[in-house]
Amino acid sequence: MQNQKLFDKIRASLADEETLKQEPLEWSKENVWQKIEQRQHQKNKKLWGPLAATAALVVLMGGYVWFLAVVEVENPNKNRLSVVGKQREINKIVPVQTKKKVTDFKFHKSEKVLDSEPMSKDTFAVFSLPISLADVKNTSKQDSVPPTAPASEMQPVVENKPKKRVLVVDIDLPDAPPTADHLLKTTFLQRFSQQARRLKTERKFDIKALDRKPGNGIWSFVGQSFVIPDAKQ
Amino acid sequence: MFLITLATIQQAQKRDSKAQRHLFEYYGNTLYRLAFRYLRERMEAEDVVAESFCAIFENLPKAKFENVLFFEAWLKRITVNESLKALKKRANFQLLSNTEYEAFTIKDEIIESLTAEQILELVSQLPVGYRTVFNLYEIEGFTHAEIAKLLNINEGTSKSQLSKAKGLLQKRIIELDKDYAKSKIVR
Repeated sequence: MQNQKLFDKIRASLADEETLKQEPLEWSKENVWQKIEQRQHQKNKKLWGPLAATAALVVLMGGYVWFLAVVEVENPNKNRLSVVGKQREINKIVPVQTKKKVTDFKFHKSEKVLDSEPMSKDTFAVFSLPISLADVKNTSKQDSVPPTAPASEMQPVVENKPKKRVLVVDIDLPDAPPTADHLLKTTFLQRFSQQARRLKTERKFDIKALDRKPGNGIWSFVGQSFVIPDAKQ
Repeated sequence: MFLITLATIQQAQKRDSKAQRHLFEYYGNTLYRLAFRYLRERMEAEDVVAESFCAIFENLPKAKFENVLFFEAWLKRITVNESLKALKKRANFQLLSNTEYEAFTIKDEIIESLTAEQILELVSQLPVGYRTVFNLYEIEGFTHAEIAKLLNINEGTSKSQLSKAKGLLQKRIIELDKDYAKSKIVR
């Protein structure tokens, strides 16, 4: 090849570090380093943008999921209440030695149901005030079951027939769950505030109804004071 | 002067600012010269060095090097790419030229008499298109296919640019010492 030697020499000269070091170098190293640091800092800053957006998205999604979960919980009102009833084993608090558990507690909204089905299973009815031993002794003679009565009708646990008192619980259940149309018409914020309000009411009710401390709530009332007829059998 | 070892590179891969600074101190001059060889503009070359180091530090954690030589080659490649980017941004960056140069055969004595400074000067005075292709092919060792890809041109264009660059270089070498050339050059 023509002048190969010349180009070999050029190549060698330009690749040789020692030769290159003879080249005048007038560049501001510090300025360039500052530029590099600045750009790196800017890139780091830019990285925070997507991170913040992702975090916000996660929070929003979490809120939405929570909202959906609350709606789901609210939807089956009766089921939820019956579950609560099942969780509480009445036989433990009723002063009657029986293995039968009363698990079918449900709250009724009105007295109408009670009138038509006075002792149906889904009626929240509790009987009698606390019966002290003295009371039992006093009432045993008056209210004892006649010996001729069939065994099935007998009430073997308590000798006397307790004084019946029916507690009709009128519970303000939370509003009906939002329909699909309602969800479409309302904004997320509106739904969120409604949900929060509903939840607050419900929590109040829960505390009021399920508080076991003596003197507080319906469960305390039931647990400490009443005997449930079903449990006696 | 400290030496760069694989440990230093590994530290820089972990975004250790001290190791990054070491790399900059050690390779800064080399990369500046490399950028300046393409651009012939101090400010532009500085910008290219800054861009190159940013790209280096950003991509370093993903890269793997068997030895320091591979790392150096990688640094140079990034700087060449950044220099070409800067060149393409220039409004007056043109590769094509219709000028044809006569082919000369230069005697060995003339070649031997050329100093390194003269060679550097001669190459730096080449037009930007010629200089770029000449640098890429003769110094960095790229093939014509790679040059074509880098500069978005045909392989044929790359070859013709190189031959024109060589022709112009030969012409300039002769012009360096006309009297000497007159007596020694054989046409």
